[in-house]
Amino acid sequence: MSSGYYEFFCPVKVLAGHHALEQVPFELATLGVKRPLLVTDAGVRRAGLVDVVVAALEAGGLKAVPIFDAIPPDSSNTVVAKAAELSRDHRCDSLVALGGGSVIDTAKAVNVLTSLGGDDIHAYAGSGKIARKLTPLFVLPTTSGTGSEVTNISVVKDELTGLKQSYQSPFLMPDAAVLDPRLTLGLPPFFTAATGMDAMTHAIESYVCMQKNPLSDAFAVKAIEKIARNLVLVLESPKDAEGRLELAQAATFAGIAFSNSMVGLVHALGHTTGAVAHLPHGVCMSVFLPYVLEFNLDVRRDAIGELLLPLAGAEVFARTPVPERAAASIAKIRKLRDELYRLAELPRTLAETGKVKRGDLPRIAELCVDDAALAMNPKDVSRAEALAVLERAFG
Amino acid sequence: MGATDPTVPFATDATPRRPVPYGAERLYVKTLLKLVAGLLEAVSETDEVVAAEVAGLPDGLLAEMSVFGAPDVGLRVQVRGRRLVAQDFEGASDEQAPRIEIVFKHITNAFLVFSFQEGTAVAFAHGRMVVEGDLAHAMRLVRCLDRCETIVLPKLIAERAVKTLRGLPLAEQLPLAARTLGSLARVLVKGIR
Repeated sequence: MSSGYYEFFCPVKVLAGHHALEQVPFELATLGVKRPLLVTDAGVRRAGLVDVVVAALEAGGLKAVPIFDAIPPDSSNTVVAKAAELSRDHRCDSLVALGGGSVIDTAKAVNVLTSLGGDDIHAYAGSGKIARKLTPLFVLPTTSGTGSEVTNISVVKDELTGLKQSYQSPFLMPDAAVLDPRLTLGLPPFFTAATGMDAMTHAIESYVCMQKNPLSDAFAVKAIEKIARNLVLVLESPKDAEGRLELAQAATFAGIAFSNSMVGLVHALGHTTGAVAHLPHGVCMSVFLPYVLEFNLDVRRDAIGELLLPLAGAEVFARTPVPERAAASIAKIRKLRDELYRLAELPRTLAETGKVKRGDLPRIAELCVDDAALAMNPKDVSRAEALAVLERAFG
Repeated sequence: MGATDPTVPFATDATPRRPVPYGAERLYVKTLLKLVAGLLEAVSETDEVVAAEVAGLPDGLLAEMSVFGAPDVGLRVQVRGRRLVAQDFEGASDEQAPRIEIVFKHITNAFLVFSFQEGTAVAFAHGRMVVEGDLAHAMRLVRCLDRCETIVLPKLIAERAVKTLRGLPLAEQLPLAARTLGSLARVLVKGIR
């Protein structure tokens, strides 16, 4: 689809590559930072990554960095308030987030409270409530999937209602994303596969959905190419630092792409299935991706066909006749999912997850049509159509 | 001298001209938004599909559509049970009610949408407008608007306005459109308060 008009925004400085961590103290200093709060989770600490980061910061002159490591996988407004309190107690002037999506989203919310005041992040819920620049936030992702290091959104659970609340503002964007292969080397195979497919879905939906534009396309294509070339290789050789770095970059590129072009039906189904059946987001993305591409095929055959180049390489692309390219792209994604099932037991159908019952599907379909991600899907989706996709994905 | 003379920068016949003056766009959009508000009320009375969608929205919800830089141009409808009730956009509104606001960033953006040159979803994708409020409710309201356009507009125009046209059989559309337009007439005669 040609863009009659588009907007693109990404003010995040990316520090990517070997010894990227060692660049952090200098970059923090350029922003006037003297005492950052390091926020992370217990798993990251147990993996020894906190020690690696603290050592790099201290060697760069940032001594006795306070640490908040009590962020659960599904973080909440209470956790945000506790971390903000610790930051105030230590008179911190910035944040360094070390972890996956939950840690990064929590750090963004903490930054709102410490910069703008208050104890209840709820007061800033929705879009446009954060009215000015926050204190510096550096993000060090330990998974290669969410892209949250370059997005303007934070999602935090409300402990009272149990519902996820989103916060959106350009001021939520971190100041820097630090991609160092040491941070993802120890990621277990299942999470490597699931987060890799999360990033793959970000990139593919960005390329296929309505808000795509030339800049988001460039980031999406490069992300798809890196994941297609490296995800299976990294699962076969988990200590492959080059491959890990490629995946980390791919996740960031995909994050830049989708935060400027939005996503579609895969995410709408994923959000609602995740809420109903408590399935990890990356698993939902991997399960739904080929079925949604088939659903969108009649209105996006060209774009899906173009994806064959980054998915399969120039040789396969060149020898595949144009009318067959879209089907070949989807077949390539199915083949990748088979490999991920073999190497990491990443489910390919809802039945394989063991957590979704066929009887859940109508409720998921009902919730799905109200999900905002559908706004940019290239086709409208009725309840019956959402249910049909869910039935096919059930297996 | 003209545009073909390379020695003359910004030759007069190269100056972009507006096909429709801003003032005319403003008048057109203001009128159309009033009609759309009335149509939403009317279709929630005549069409069971729209009524069922409205029933899923919180009672009292205010939905507003406005244009940045044009404070007198806009529409406001309020959810009352299974019905949408059009309200006077320039009148006072319930400040405590939950609210969804769709704001066009310029009068021209609204003109492109309401003259069916750009579909609503495409305009949103192009960043021509912003939505504030509960997005799940906004999705439901968009479905109401799409259904309304499918009922009252000829197919040729409706397919430019909505993302995916779910056309009705003519035998179903024509009586429904007639009832909806009749209901619209009643709303307009009664006046939007």
